[in-house]
Amino acid sequence: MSRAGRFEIWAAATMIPLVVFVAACAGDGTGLDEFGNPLAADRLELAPTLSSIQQNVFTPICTQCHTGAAAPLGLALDSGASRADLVNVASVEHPELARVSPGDPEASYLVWKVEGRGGITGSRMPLSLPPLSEDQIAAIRVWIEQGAEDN
Amino acid sequence: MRRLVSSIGAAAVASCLLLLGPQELSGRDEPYLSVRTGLKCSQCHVNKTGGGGRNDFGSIYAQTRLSMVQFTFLKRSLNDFLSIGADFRVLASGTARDATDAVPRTSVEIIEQSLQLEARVIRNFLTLYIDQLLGPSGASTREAFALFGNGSLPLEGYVKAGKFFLPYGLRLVDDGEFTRARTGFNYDTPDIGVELGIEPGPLSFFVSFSNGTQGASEDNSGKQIAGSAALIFRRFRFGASASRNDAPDARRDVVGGFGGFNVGRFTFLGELDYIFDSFEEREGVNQFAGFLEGDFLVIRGLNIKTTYGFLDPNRDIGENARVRWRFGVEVFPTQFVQASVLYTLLEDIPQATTDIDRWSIELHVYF
Repeated sequence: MSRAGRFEIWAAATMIPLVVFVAACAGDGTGLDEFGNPLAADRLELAPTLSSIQQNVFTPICTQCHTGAAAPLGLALDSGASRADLVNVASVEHPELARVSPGDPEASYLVWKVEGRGGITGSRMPLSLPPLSEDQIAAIRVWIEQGAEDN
Repeated sequence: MRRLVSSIGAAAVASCLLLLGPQELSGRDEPYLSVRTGLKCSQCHVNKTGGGGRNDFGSIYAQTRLSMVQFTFLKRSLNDFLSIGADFRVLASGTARDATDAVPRTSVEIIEQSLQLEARVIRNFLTLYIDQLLGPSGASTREAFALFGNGSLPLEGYVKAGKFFLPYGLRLVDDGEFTRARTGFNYDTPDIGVELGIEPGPLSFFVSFSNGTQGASEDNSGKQIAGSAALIFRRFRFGASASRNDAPDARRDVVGGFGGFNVGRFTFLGELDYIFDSFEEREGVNQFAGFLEGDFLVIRGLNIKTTYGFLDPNRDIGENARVRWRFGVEVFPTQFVQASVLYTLLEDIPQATTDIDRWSIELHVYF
């Protein structure tokens, strides 16, 4: 075997166990809800209201990225800011569509993005996470259908 | 005559490429390819910080050194003034394991149709570049900038102005990787601003000043500054990145380090990032994201890939870490064609409903 070949085997034999050793595992979730946040006693059930969607979808899932100064595409979904950044605000990727068009989920780009429709630009949301559940998407659709109120 | 000279020039550059390394090269416009070859991102891409359209060198490399089989060589330059490029990706994917035992979901979708134009307005001094997404739905501009200097300024310097990907970390193609999604530096979030860069010898140093709105219209006085510095050698590289994004009621600081090395057919690279979000009206959140990648070049045009991602989404909360593995193969059967089969394994906390594994098959046609 050539010197280069022996060096490759040495590199693999060294690096692979090293990576396995360094690689940490996922947390055991003690004391946390399904989103990895501390268990809250006053959590709302999923329902087509902004407060419920905020607590069950926007805050635990979307604000993992859409938060603070670097909120992607200027869309912050933090509690207290989400409605102002969504309702009747033109989408950056498709300015002809509002992020949320009250009463019309089909014309709301938020719905397009979480459903991963063929017409979207960029990735399906939530990025790097599995898609929202059917119940979560249904709650968003109904909330929009009912006027996207601050309820 | 001009065509003959161009062909001779292309052949000469290709010959130089053949002399660059002793082993076969394979890959795509990803950082591991840069580590494997010991080349800077700017060697193959119009955008000096990597990603997007390939330059003449990158096009020749992609056609002569990537694939198992090569057909007729095509020039990307239409003439002395204008060059074109394109990317087309189709993705088939599905759930392989779902913590909620939901019905398996599968999909086939076009995820990218893009066209790149490079106009060399003043040779070696002023270039106009556009990377336009044509679909899968309406058109949108991913990058559009004027590039001054193009290496002709002192210290191999340049100035870029327009809309572009900000310089930070390893520009992975996989936007879903924690280091890309959580830092906010990915293909979905180009920003508008100005970038300065120098690349003397082994050094690559970039710094950008931008709106900090990740492509959205500017609505405040806050701005983002992002920078990256790396030392790049034939067999290894290391570097660091940092960014600060100020807004009226919030601020995000991101710092990280990255590096990689190549040993024969093995290539390893990695990145670590700390993300600090602070708010005026509530407590801040600190995150930590890590990434490791190992590649093995089986034969020319066939690469085995394994990646490992780690995320602590809130340093103040214990036992909430998340891990993401990806492994599979990438094949370049002919020039312009790349296919990959990858399995993504997500390890989340036991009660998470987002604990889902996915398989994916991607076809990428590029020019």
